[in-house]
Amino acid sequence: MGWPVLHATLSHHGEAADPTLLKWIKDVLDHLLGLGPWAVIIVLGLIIVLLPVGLVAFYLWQLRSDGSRGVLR
Amino acid sequence: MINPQAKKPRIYYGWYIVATSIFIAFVSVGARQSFGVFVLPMSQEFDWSRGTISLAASLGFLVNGVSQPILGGLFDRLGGRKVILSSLAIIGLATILLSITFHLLFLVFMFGVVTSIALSGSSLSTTGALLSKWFQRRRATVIGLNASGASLGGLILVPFSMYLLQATSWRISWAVLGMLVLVVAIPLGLLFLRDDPAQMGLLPDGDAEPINPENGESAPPAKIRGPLEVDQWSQSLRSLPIWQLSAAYFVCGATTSMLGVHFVPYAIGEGISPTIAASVFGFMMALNMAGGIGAGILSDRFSSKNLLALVYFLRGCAYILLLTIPGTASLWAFATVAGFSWIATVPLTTSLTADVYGLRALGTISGISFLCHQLGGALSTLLAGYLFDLTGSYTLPFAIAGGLLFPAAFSAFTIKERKYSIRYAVQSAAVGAGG
Repeated sequence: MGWPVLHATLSHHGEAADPTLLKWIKDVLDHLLGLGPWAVIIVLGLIIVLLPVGLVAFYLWQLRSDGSRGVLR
Repeated sequence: MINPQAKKPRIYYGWYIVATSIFIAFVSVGARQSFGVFVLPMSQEFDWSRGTISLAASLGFLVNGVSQPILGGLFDRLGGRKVILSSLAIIGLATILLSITFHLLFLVFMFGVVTSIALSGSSLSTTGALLSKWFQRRRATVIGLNASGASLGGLILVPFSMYLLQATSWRISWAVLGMLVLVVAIPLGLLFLRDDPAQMGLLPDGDAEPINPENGESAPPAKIRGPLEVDQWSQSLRSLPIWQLSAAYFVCGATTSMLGVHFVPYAIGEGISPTIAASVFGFMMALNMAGGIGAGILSDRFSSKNLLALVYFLRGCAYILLLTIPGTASLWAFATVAGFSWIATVPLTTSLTADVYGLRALGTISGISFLCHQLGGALSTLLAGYLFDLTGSYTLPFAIAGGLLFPAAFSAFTIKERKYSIRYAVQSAAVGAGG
């Protein structure tokens, strides 16, 4: 065996994931989801964007109810 | 005595720092882990072998470890906001530039050097050091939540990259990942990240200022200095806990990286089907997040060093299960026991380091521990490959990994937390003041 230094996402500080494992995971996801790539991209993209948008919206709502301007000046 | 008149916001601002850090970990770690998605299409287009392209990843692994104490030092001098935001800007730009990769050396330099150094500026060690300034009593809890952001990045951003690549091209996919960092993570950080609660007139954990019993006015709380609290990172090297924590973290890196790298060849060698291997992996990632958060919450209530020792002990038992149970059951047993321990070491190690050595040099000290973690990872990966070549099996390397975890547990268990941790110094001071 050579030098397989690509790291699976099992490692926990942000090492690159193993391409073979990723292919296996994608096959499982394809089987489970049964959706086209764009449908998955839109769903995951929405989740990704919702996290920060939700945080800002919550903060602004909190500022409004507290009657303060906070740090968003 | 706490000032009951003090106006306290309904939600402590530190929680916004936590949420922002989680998203930063989510994006920066997720984008980094997505590299594996790009290996096949890039190697096909440029006619590179997998071994050649993995040079960028392996170099990046070591560069990331070596640069962590340096970026940690910048964090200690300049503050978290500047270091984290600058690092994110570099990660975003370099990731976009990966879309114009034209030569192997360009990829190696951009991914293996530039983004790897920048990742140290927005890593779990750096954001953990920032969160340690905002929280004291709930320190491990918030660092655990932060670590779960990295796992979430693997669960969401990596599949996002897979499908993006399928629908577009590797060049567009790199550009989209880079834009995500530049357009979403950086504005969020600009809005919310602040270096210190004192900048906003707040106290750690959102506590109200205590009242001076003599004049009835609020006053800043008395500063309590822990027995090993340092002003310079080099002072920490003269005490035992940093060595105990770093030695255990070395084993942590060795045991996670060894399995991370050799998981696929091991599964193939054992005749485990790709579907089962992928399912076990997903299961372990879910437990991973639960373990990180759970360890943090428990650590704020019980002894951190005992929990850290327990985590290493459990991981050692998981390796024994992997080697002794036959068939695919061994993989499920391993995933169940080890899954909880996989990322739990991060909040426990970072919060214990902060509790023992204070906050002034925490970025550098955490960086030193992290360097040991990465060295352990690099050495174990090589050793496992070498031993597999020698014996034709993973039994010996996995047995060594499992065997190392028990001394690591002992190393963590023997840390004199009650003597050195600020948590217990604060409790003693409170008892003294009360009685």
